[in-house]
Amino acid sequence: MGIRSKILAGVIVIGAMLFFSGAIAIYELNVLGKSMQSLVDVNIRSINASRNMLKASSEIDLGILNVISGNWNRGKSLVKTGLQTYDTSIKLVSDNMGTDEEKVVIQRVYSNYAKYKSLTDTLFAAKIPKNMDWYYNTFLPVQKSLTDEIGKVIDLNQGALYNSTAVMKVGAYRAFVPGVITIIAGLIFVVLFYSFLIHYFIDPLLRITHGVENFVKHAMPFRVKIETKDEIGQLGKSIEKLIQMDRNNKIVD
Amino acid sequence: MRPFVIIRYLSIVLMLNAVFMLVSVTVSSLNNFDDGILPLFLSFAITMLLGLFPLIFIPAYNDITLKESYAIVAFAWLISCLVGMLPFVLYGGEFSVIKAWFESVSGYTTTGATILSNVEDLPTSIVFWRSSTQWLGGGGVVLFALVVLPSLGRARANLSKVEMSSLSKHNFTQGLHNSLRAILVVYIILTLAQTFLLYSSGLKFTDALMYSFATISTGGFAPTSSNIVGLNNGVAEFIIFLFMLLAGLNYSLLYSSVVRRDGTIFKSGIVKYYFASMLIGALALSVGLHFSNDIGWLQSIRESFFQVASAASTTGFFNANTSLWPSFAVALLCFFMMQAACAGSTSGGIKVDRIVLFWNMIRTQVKRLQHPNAVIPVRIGKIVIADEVVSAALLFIVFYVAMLFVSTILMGVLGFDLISGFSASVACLGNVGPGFGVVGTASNYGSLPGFGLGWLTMLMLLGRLEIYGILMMVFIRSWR
Repeated sequence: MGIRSKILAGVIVIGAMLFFSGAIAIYELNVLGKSMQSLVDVNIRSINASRNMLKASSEIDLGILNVISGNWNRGKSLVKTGLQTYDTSIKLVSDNMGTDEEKVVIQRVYSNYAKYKSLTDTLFAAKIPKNMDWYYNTFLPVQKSLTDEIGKVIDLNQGALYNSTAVMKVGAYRAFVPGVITIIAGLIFVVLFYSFLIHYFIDPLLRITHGVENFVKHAMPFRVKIETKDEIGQLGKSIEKLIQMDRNNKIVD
Repeated sequence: MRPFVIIRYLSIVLMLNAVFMLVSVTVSSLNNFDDGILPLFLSFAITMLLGLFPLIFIPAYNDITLKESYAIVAFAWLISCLVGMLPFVLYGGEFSVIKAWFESVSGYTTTGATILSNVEDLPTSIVFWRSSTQWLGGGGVVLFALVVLPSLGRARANLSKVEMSSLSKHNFTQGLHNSLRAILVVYIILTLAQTFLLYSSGLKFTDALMYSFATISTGGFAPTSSNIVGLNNGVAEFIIFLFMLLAGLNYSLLYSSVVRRDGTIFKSGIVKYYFASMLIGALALSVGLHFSNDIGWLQSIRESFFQVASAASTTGFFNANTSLWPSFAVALLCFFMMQAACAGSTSGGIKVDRIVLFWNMIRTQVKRLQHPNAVIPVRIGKIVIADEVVSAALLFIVFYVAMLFVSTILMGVLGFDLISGFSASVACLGNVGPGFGVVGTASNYGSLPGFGLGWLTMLMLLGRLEIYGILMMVFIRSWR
């Protein structure tokens, strides 16, 4: 292999290493960024939806009290709006629930919501008007169970947000470490490259120069050992031949 | 010493490691590109390029000296351990830098001691790489290079002087090249045979391969934290037991017995002692466990024979929680961990050959005292052992025991109890793996402080390079 090819190959090797580690670090950072964004988005959406459900509960609660106290139309309107908010929010929360634990909780929310909805339905369908006893003994316990479960959904989402910091830590580590390792490997390459250049290119040239000078000034025999067979090796051999020819000519003269 | 000559041969070793990393990358791609793909691919790229780079500049040399050979072998282990830790460091998880170094050294030196509390958390490709380090180490990174690269000529002869246990050389009756090839052939055939048998017994192919890597290299890294206990497969357990015994034999004798059918393996006094000592030890342990731990005969025999074979071959697999065993059982297993198996195998420890030589030395010394004028050489069987081999073996044993004492004291300083400290030292210097107490089968080395882990990795390297290899490196200044 010639000197040009050797240096080119050396540069390609260093370049390839930088490329691989850089590409992996960029990929990991990209993955980290995307996953973090999506994790935070999902959890924030879910928390907002849960809060909307809690607000809807208050609205329905107020609507029920209105109905019991005789404000039928006002009450009906509040309950209807509340139930619509519930339907939209519960679907949104359900879509964002992925783990087994989350699925269990959302199942309980659904089941409590079904009971809750049937109570409001009976309120409007009932022939016998509901009173405060019904409100305290039948309606409020069901509402409390439902809001408790919604509270758990919020807790789960907040926990998931906290857990995403652990994911971020792992991702940051995986993006950071290739860089550190590449820096170390790069330094090793630089030291090796420098040593090889000195040992296999510069030193032989100096030895050849020294050998030629010794021959010219002191007529000392040209004995320079070149380990490689590249251009420098060929140069050494050519000079050796040249000196040999010069000597032969002198003998002939 | 010419550093560039050493660097050239180290680069060959690096490329060999890179090839195995590439195999692990393939394993990752077969497992739907699991989480190990990027750490393994980057490790492969760095290792391959680090190996390729010096080869571009440094021409081939065939005239390497013995000193250079020592340096090549010692540095080959170190550099393999260094690049071997890359996938672990890049993956992260339970691996800090020092823990990744520990796991890597433990793999390459075929120790099998782990810092992992839950191996199952790792992606399959990383577990496969972890198993590969033992198989590479078992075969001897340098030995691979020696056989694979036929261009080395004289260099191969010098390297083999260093790489092979000095005691195993007298067993080589064939040419050096053939003997080295024989070792490699036996190593690969045993691995393939065990993989096939384990696969037939119902294990998944990758699991069968990883258990085989761990058995034949006498490493002991299992792909699950529950080790052999979790296999719940009596046939597989028996296969592993048989191959642990085989892995402890001298490979050249094994090759000679199979290829030439000369039965040398059955005639060897060392092999007879190896099996006899294990049989007596296992029977004594069975009886002891039956009465002291109140367990049935079948279970005590099964556990005793397996654990004795595991300790004696320095594999380090376990089919029982030995931390719960009584002190006599712990002492007996520690003895087998120190004695280990035959020279010329992949096992660590003092080696049966040196123990036999030691007893023969004592017998000869008694005879010399009885007959002061007689010239009585030390023998193993009919072979007269040269004085320098005898003194080297004796020095080795003395140094080995001294290291154990120093290490036990050091572990005590770090806060470990006597059993934990001593067994950790025995297990790491003997390249066994799990010890007893806090480093027993029910736990791992993960709780050790960084300094303790660093010290134990040094013991592993000392044990793997049979002490002298590392000492040569320590006294590197006297080489000039």
